[in-house]
Amino acid sequence: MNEPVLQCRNLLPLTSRVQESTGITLELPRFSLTCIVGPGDSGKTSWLRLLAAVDPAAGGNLRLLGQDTSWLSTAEWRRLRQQAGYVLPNSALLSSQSVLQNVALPAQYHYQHGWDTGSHAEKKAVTLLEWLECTADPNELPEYLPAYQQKLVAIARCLMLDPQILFIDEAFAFMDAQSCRKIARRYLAIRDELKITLVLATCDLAFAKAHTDRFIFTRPAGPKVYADWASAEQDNDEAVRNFIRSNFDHYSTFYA
Amino acid sequence: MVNTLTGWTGRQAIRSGVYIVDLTVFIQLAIRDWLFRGRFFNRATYRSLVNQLLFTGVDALPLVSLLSLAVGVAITSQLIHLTSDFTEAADIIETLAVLTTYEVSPFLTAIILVARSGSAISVDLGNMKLHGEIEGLELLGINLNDYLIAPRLIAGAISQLVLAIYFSGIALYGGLIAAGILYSTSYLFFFDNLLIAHTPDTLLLFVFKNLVFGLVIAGTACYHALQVAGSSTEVPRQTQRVIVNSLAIIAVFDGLLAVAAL
Repeated sequence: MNEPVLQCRNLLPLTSRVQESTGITLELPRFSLTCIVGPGDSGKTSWLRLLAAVDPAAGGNLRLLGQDTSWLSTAEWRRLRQQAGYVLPNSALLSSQSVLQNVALPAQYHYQHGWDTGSHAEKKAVTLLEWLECTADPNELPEYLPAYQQKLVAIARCLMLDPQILFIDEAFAFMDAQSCRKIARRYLAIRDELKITLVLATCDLAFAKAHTDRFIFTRPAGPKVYADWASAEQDNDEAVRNFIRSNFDHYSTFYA
Repeated sequence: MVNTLTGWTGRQAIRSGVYIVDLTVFIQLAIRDWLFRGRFFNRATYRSLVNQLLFTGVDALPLVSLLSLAVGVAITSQLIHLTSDFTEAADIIETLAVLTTYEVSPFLTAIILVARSGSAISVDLGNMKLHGEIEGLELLGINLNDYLIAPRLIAGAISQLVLAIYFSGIALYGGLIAAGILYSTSYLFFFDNLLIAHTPDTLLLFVFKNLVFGLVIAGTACYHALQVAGSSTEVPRQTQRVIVNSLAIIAVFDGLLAVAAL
């Protein structure tokens, strides 16, 4: 139980854009909140996908939920995905299905409640949407929802499978300040109440400073892992200092 | 010039062969994943299948009815007009039954399915791929073959078979009634001949042919839709390939089957 939920050593992405030579080494304890921050186009998504075992690594070793992800078969990878949720930047909900159908889908597909009790999945979906304070009409198509609501629906869809860890790409993208504040509270509730480890890719430094247990700064020269905000601020790395200086005030207006 | 021409022909032949193998493996894998999942349907897959059956099969009924009636009347009229001077009415009806049931109805139903469902599946799945919806499903541990492809293949095959039977029925009986009204009421007494014309062998061939047609149409549509990557211009391009390729495969397969059945 005390085993870290994610462990990696010298993990390297396949993307040629990232020039790091040493890769990333870190351990994420259970029920922690980690943010991947960095300038736009610095590879936040690449790192998030790599840590979530969505993309294959060019080198190094990754253990996710106690499983070595290097040699996973397709079936094992699919089983892992039920325990390690991943929310894509655009939420990627099925446009032809209603909010409720989208959320209930994974539980229905994976027989979480058996064949004859399909309504259980829908009840659970409604409960989750209410818990996430998603005010969207369950019968509405996701296309008509604002980005904030779409993100909540996508998170609810992942939570249907009771994952142990949740990766969220562009956690605050396309949202106004009020929505950012609301969704930030839900992220904290997911960690504290549902006891799910969270890894977010975001530009929101204020959120990272206030709530993150550790964060990963991505830069062209390679990622840097910090245990807390203070150690990042004290770092003499020019890229990190410049990014914090130039972005903190801007993003602080979004999230306080 | 000759070398270029033969080289081009050879390359096209190899490319077509590889394409057919790819498509066959794609369809086989989808069916295998569906069969080996343990239970054939879960609620999500079942709903997907029912939606596909409604769209591919039930929604196509008005168009199939209209087309089959028109074709039935046209073929019956032409056949009677061309052969009534030297052939018995009973023979004309038997010829009509065989021609309509085994050649016209499967092929025209397939054309309707390619135009309606093949293109729709291609656009639907292509856009899903483009907008990341398919990746979203994969990230939930959902097997695409099982959830997206197999229901479309099954619905395609069942719809093609049922619609072809329906097409034959409307075309034959509609044609016969039209002949009875337009030419001679004696044609109305040949309803039984429509059934006598069929043997168990030819009926099996009819079922086999239509199931394969349905699988080819849905399989080609899914196969090409999943090739969409990056740009929205890919969707119409792949849809065009779906229509052209599935029609070509169906025509060639139909011809080969007709020769083999002789």
